[in-house]
Amino acid sequence: MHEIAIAHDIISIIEETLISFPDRSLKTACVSIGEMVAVVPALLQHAYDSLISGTHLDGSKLEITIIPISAVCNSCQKTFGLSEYEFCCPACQSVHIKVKTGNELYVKELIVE
Amino acid sequence: MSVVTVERKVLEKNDQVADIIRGQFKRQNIIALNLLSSPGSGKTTLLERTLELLSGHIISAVIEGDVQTDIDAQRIAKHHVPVVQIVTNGGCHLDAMLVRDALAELPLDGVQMLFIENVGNLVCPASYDLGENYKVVIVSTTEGDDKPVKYPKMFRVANVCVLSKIDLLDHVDFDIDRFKAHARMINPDLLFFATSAETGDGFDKWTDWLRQLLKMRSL
Repeated sequence: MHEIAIAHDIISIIEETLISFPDRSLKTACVSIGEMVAVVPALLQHAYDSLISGTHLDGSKLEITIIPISAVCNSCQKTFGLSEYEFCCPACQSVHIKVKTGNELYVKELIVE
Repeated sequence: MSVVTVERKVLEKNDQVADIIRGQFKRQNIIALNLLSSPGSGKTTLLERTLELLSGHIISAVIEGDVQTDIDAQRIAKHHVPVVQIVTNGGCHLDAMLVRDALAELPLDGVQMLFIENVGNLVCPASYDLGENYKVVIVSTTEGDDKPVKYPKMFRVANVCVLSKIDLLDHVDFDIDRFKAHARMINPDLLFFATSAETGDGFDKWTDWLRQLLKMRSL
């Protein structure tokens, strides 16, 4: 359900960015979302499409890149990807790890014409 | 066709407001706890029992978040603490802007501890910083001991986990050790309390910890 709120915030960022490009129209907004944020891409796309319907952004698309969870072990310094949310180092089994990627939620770039 | 680099966090506005709220709490010497759980875990009942036990020891205030109705705020108001109800009208989580607006309505003079009862949901509220000092996730024994692995982000961001309804343990298939093992796999630093608002079990340790927070703050 948070997809609607997230789509709303994405649109605000798009609108603020496009103010500097008044003669351009948006084709695609590229967003990067970490796996931990638990966004369902299809729901986010639907939410986005509904919110822009009838506006000057109508017809633009979201390009959603999901960033997998990765972490670094505080004990042995190994960097690894997490599968099945096992927050544990595969090399030394330490649970004291720092998540490096997977919490992202940002608008990366806009493709305009 | 050209590319405009943006690189802006989607929740940047929320995070900026959360930082302002955090500063306000620090200036006013308020410890804020964000209570998170699925619907029906017993958040409000836990809070009512907690307020009873803290009465005379800690001056508390409450922000209630719900999708609809002010039923919870009415329940809390009976405990003679300042309370504001946020109705999200369908929104599945509280955000920092809603909390900022609620704080403007709350008489905070002398308040030492603020409880923010989030909307019942184990997914969305995990992503929204409200400027709180602690995130407390509440899980009832009737929900199953696999909740941490099903909702890992919530358990990863939480500082504290309160297990509720432990008086029902004999009647449900819930293994506390398995639950803790699941939760610690996600977050090894999670602090646990096991409570029953029905019998009062576990509330001494839970409220001792809350009192300890104030002592630590005043050191």
